[in-house]
Amino acid sequence: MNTKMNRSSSLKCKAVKSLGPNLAEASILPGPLAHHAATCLRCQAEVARFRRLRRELSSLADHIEPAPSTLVERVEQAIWADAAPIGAQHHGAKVVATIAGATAAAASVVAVALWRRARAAA
Amino acid sequence: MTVGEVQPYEEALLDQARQGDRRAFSELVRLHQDEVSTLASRLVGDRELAADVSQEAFIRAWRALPKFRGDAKFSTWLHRIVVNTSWSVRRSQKRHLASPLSEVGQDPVAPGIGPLEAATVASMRPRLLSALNELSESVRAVVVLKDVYDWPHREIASHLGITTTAAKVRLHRGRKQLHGLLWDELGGAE
Repeated sequence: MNTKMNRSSSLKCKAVKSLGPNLAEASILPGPLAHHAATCLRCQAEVARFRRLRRELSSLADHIEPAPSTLVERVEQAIWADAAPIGAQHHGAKVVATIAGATAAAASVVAVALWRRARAAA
Repeated sequence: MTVGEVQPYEEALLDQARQGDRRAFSELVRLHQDEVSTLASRLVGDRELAADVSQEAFIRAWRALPKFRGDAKFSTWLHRIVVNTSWSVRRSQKRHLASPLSEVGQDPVAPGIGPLEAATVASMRPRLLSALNELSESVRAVVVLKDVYDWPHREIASHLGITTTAAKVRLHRGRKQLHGLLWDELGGAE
């Protein structure tokens, strides 16, 4: 009787173990296995290990390591040597085009005025 | 500067940097350098290479800044660039050096946990970082992005150029490997 129970328990332990990392998820265990795990210290330890691993990994998110002291300087050197960002270049190009257009318009007005004066004088 | 003041300050810097103001961008680099460097270090598992990845990521961010519309947080956008950069840099520079563990595990531990657990977490951290470095690059990237930074599977898959199923398989494999590598630290013998 005891041997039969032990064998059944061992099979359930194997079934729990086979779930591996999924054990860290709450309520992953189907009914009969959940009932077994609630009373089996070995399975509880397996679940606890995977849950602890998840906690440890998650805690790394708040553990920020300092950047190398030269990083800002290296980036600054690179971006000062680099062209302005593409959007900013477009912005610059728009300004140049506007100035060029305005200059051309002003030149046309002056040219027409000079032509009229010359014509009037003639 | 308080937490509430950081965001308007960052937004002002972003506006200036988008117009080509390099000084404003340098200030953004200063604000985000530690988190970018930490993520890069965890993804590539090599501090020297992580410094190159961080530098390259910031340069890519500078060039792409006008495309940043503010739909996501600036730090989230930066993280995505770091992931893409580390992937491409790692592909071109195939080398692997172990992290100098003497430098880790000395910083303050995660806030919000009790002193006893904090001590346990801090004592395990060097070993955890070392175990992460023992995973293959492709598996480590998925474990770091999912279990440390809590990225959705779909986003991880898209950034690593794999299917969602492949991302889940790698995650399962990585967790299982870590469980084996950290057996003693996680509670040990049955």
